[in-house]
Amino acid sequence: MKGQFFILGAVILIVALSSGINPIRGAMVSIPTEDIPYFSSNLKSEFPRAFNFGLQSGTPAQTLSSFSRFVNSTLLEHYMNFSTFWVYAKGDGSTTLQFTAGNFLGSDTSLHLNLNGALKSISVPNNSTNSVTFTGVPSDFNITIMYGDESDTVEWVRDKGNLYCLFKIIRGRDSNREEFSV
Amino acid sequence: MRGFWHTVDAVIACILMMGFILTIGSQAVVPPEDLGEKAYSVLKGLDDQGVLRGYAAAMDADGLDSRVGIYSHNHSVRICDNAGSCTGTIPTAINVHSGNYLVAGNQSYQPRTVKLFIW
Repeated sequence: MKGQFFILGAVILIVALSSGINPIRGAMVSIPTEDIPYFSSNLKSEFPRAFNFGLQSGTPAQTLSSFSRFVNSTLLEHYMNFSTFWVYAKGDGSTTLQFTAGNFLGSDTSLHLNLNGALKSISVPNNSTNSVTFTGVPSDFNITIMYGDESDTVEWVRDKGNLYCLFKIIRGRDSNREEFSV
Repeated sequence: MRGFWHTVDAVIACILMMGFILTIGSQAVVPPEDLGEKAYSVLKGLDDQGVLRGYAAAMDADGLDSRVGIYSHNHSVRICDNAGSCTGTIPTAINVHSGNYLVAGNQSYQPRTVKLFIW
């Protein structure tokens, strides 16, 4: 009879001890999805497409502006801040070339263009576009695009569509910046 | 008194056995598959194949979903345009992962957001 009580006592002690033990299964590491690089890669190919569609319809400024706003509203749904600045030029067969800039950086800015030493400046308010014209443009030229703290020199061809674009995607401490010219 | 020490022996023996079973029985840590990255890769792959844009422009979410080649999980597609109109379904399951893909258009400017849900 005494042995049965000792066995019962042992079972009670074991249950009491095991109830406080967590099974060692190992940590289930969940790596957070880093989607900003995917969006950046996606947009780097889609902005030139939007530009081409705009050239086809004869409304590149409107198309790029619409696409910039579309991307901004889409990324806001993912708690990302999106900003972009672009400049394009499309020749009409003459040596006169119009440059159009779109500013979606969140604040007004001034654009300074240096085309083979010829300098022109325009103001580009936030969420809008503005244009400036150069004359006597050679068939191939270097253009330095300066706005805010940004400065980049690209080599363009007069008699084709040219696009420079910079965009930034920010969410918390994660960010990505892309700058390209096509 | 002897019985008390037999009891202690039994308790220690059981604890050792439980510790052995728990340690051996624990699963190896396997990082969960990043289905969000997989969703984006699938959408990118469909775009590279020339499949995605036609369905996106036509707002044909079911058609695009039928072209998604994921057989180990459930999936659905949702396509939204610039005005906020959408086709396709948002799953109500738990642990749903999603990938997003933006397109400027197919033959003309028709901006779309394509979402692939995997669960």
